[in-house]
Amino acid sequence: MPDLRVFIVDGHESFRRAAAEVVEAAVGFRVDGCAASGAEALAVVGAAAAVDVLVIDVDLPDADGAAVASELCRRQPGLAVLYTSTLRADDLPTELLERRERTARVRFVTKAAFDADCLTTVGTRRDPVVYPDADAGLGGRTT
Amino acid sequence: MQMRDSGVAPPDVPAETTARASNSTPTALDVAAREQLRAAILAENRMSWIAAAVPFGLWLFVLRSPLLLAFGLLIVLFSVVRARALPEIDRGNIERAVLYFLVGKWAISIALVFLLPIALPIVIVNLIMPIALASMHLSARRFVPLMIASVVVAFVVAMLGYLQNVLALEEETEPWVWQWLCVIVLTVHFVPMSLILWRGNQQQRATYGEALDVNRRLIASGEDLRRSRRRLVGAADAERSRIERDLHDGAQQRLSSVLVQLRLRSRLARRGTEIDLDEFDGLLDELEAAIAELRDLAHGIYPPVLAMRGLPAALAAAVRRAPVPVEIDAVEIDRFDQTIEAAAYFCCLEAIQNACKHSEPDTTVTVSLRRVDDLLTCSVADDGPGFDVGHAATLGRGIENMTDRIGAAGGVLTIDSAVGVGTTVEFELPTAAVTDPEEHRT
Repeated sequence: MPDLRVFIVDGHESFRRAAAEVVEAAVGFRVDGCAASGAEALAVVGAAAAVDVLVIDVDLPDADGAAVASELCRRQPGLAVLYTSTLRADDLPTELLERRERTARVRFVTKAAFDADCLTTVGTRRDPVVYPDADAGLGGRTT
Repeated sequence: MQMRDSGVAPPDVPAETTARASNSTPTALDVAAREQLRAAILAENRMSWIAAAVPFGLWLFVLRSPLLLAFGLLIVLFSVVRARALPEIDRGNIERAVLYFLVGKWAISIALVFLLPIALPIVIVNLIMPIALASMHLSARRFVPLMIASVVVAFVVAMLGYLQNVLALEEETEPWVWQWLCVIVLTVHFVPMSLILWRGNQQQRATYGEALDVNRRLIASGEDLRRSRRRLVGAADAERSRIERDLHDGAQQRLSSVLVQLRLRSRLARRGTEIDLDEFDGLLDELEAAIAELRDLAHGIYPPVLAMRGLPAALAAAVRRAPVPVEIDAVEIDRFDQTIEAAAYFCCLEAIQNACKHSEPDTTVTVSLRRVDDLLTCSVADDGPGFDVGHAATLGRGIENMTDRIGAAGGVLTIDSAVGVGTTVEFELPTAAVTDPEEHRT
């Protein structure tokens, strides 16, 4: 089974770098591309590249991360979304959390807690979403 | 003439004496009422000289009756009594002054109607005026006995006027003499009375206008205060929002990223992957940058040097890296209340930043801090391009901030600038700490 393609959208270079490292280290995932803004992401994803998992900051420098993610999901049904932010879930708009509930393939994680486990919670090949056991660890690397 | 002189005190003296004697500052209305009473007494005394001349004149040219002489002397006597009311007004004993005035009127009225019943209408007018004056000046407790006395006097006067003619002075000479005398005196009486009423009214209207004016100014300044308070609160909120933004975009992002990367490396290392030490150095640099950002941010919130060393040291530290030379000239500037120090510091900083922003290559900025008694005076002066103060449009948000900040600390800020001369921002702050009960409770 080919690796899942992960696309990272974040305004902060340091986090893009860190996230990319985590993705590359996780078995079964690879970085397909990065974007520093919503506009950049909209120009690439679904047009030039087809991706499986979107890691996107809720608060992009030029746009609302949730709106960008919705648009990309529309273009690419089945796209898994992992929202990130330095904020806690409590500080996020309820609307975003509601959207998170509508589709099981959307998750939120604070940036400090971003790791391979988060990728596996959203990133599986096909519906339905598979929730790996806690013991499954780093994206199946232990097996 | 002596009496009149003694009555007319220099205009500035009475107010002072009054304030001392009554132990409370008289209101504008009090002052107006006293002035009215004084004017009434002075006018009355002037009339008394003419009035006294009439019986003496009659005695000399018409009728050699000792009663006329006695009456003339009575008028003179009560002029003296009335003149004694003037120093009482100055001392604040308004009620006693009114009493002197009333007693004089009553005595002369009774004597006149006794001598000359035909003069009854004049006497009535004469009795109405003092009781009207008394009604303006006396408390209810004093007014009631006076009113009773006034009624009694009116009764006596009416009795004498209608029922007696024991002396029959009227019959001792041609009746037309008395008739015409009464006509003239009665008519003339209305001149001072009208003047006194008019003057009292004018004074009250002036006082009322003054009070209205003060009221208008108070309302206007209240509106200014509300606006300034809104701006201050708005500025504080904007500042907090900026700090949140800076934290979110800066240190928090860096720290999150470093944490993610460290966790990854820790897991990899546990599994036996070798750590790339160069990468590690990169993470350390990130941490250092995050710490520096946090430090700068904290400095912007409240400069530590200001908290530790006070104004001159904090300003000197702040201008060390200014693009133009800034000279700090502080004489005997000690520590002040934190509100004062913060207001002075941020205001100076804003002024210095403005001077630097609009500076020319050879511009220098001088910051002077002086303390005179309980007043801290600061001025930030530059010899830069300057601007036209008359153009309100050029006064930006920064100047509004400074004005609000200094105003909130109880000070005053002025800006003086002219094209080609430079700009001077000057402000004064009261250094005596404002005691706020709310603040001490905690």
